Amino acid sequence: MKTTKRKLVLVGNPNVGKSVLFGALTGTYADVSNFPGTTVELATGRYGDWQVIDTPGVYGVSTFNDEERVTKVALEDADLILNVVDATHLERDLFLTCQLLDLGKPLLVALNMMDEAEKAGVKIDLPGLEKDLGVRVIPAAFRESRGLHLVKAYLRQSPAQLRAAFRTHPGGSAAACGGPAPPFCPDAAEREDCYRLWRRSADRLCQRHLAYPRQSSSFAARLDKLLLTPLTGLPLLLLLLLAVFFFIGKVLTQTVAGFTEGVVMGRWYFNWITGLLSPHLPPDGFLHCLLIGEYGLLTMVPIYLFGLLFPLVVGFYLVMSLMEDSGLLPRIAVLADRSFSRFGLNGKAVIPILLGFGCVTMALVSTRILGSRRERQIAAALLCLAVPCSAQFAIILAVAFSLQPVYLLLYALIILAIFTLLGLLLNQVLPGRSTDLFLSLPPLRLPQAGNLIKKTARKSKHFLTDAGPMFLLGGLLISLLNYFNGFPLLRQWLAPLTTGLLGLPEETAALFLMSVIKRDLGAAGLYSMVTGGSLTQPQTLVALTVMTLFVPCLASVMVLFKERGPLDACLIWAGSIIVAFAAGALVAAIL
Amino acid sequence: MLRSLNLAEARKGQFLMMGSVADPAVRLLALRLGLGEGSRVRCLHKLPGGPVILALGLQKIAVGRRLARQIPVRKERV
Repeated sequence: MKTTKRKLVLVGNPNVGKSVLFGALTGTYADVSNFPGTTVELATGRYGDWQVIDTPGVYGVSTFNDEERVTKVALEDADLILNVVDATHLERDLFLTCQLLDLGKPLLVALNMMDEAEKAGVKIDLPGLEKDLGVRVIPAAFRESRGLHLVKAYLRQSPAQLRAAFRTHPGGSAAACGGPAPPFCPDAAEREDCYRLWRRSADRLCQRHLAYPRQSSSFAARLDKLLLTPLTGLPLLLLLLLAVFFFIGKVLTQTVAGFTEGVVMGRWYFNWITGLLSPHLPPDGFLHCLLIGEYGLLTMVPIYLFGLLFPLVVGFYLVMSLMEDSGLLPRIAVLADRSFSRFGLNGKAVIPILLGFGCVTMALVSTRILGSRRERQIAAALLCLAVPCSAQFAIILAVAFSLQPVYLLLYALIILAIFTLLGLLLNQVLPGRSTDLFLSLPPLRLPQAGNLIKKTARKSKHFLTDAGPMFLLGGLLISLLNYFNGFPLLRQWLAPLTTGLLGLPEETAALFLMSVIKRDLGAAGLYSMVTGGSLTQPQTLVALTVMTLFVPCLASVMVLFKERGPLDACLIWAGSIIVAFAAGALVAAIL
Repeated sequence: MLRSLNLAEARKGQFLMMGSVADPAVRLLALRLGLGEGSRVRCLHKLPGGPVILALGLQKIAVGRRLARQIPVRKERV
């Protein structure tokens, strides 16, 4: 048994099926996503005596973004590179193949999505392509396990055999069209010349070995046409969003969470844990308050976390994974491009904004995909102020659905108006120029159920590990405050704000404190206040408005400092408090 | 005959030949996606005031309207 494993690095453009192959080879899970840039981490697994590394999708290997830097490092000590290529997008994907040829390492090309290419009538001359590239080309459809045995057979070769196979076809990318081979990773001065060379090589390969049908009229093509035409695309998009809102706000929150929170956790679990512990804890003691009190670590924390938030978060991530894997997300980016350009963003910013409805913290990290510092600033400000995260959003929806339609409409208008005004304002005052939309759209595909479930499970687990400690911290702080009678003091201090400015009951002071620690903790508190009947309809609207706009949670503030620096972070943080209370006060004054 | 125009002026369904893109960063990304000077594309859709969607083989590429105005193209006879 050898101790040093050989390194196999999977490389390819975004959405070409690398991760499906990775899963088939190693048996472990890797994130498969339909939007460029969501698999930033390297996934590693084992196959026989190979260490298999799955890199993020890239169009070329340079230092343009994190994905490319990560891929470049992974390639440096590869023993074999497996370049996965989308057979329906050869003219795009062969650019990377040509660049990889010039790395001079053993290379294997897998022509994935052959089933789709055949269905679309694309004709590929495989022997010719193989001959010109000088490396083995394997036709495949990894989703159907087609071609997998050929890859496995290739991997069974000894290192000497692999090297020998590669040495018989030297010459690099330029061999296909003559001339000297360019360096694999050229410096800035040479970059464009090398790019032109790889482009020419890829184009020539396509001219020689690829023939397209005249028209495609599959169902996906017709649906895509409807989606990309505003007259039909916008209503479809609206319908989709309404379905999502209904699914999360009504079905999940009221039916599912109503059962998990109201019955399973709120009754069965609550009775069990209090029955178990209360005989041993004096009712006025500190431990009673800390563990099973109103804000107890074993009562409020698990009931909110598992009963209320977890089902909502799972639902949200399922919806997001569905949109990512189907290729809908980039279509939404296209439809939103015109509106977003007024905020100094391009349609691509839909990704962090929509992700923000899942978790603002993760969304702040994903603002890196935006093309300029200016866009990242604008997106971060919009995310922190006007985008509620999934758990908070689901609760806001649930609370909002309990409002009379007129208040629900008012709420939607207020948040939308603030989002728009902030975007317009930032676009005016921030210096510089934003980048334009320039995006390769992945094909519309029916997502794979297994992949959806795995992805949702992974992200939901991430939510629990991320939110769990913060909830415990929040429970601890609030229980301490409660035990030492800090609440009356806090209520008194905040009274000018809560009762004076906003016209809310004093108890809402605790909600704002909870929100500072974790936004959804505060939202969960608001939910129980509203369902408990302690707020009137106008008061609910005011509280909802303030809670939606209020400061981002501690975790996102930390990421905000890291991503945007102290000045931007402090401005956004302070700004969100001021805007939240100002908007709340305005609503309170009008109603 | 061939006539010079920019991508934003192209009409839906037209076959076009790409000219040279002025912005170096966009030019490099375009080369990677398969769009070089002389590439033949088709204008698939134009969203009113919004992006132009190009077809390059079976690939679809969305180009923001402001950027489309800066990309010279020539109309191709089919």
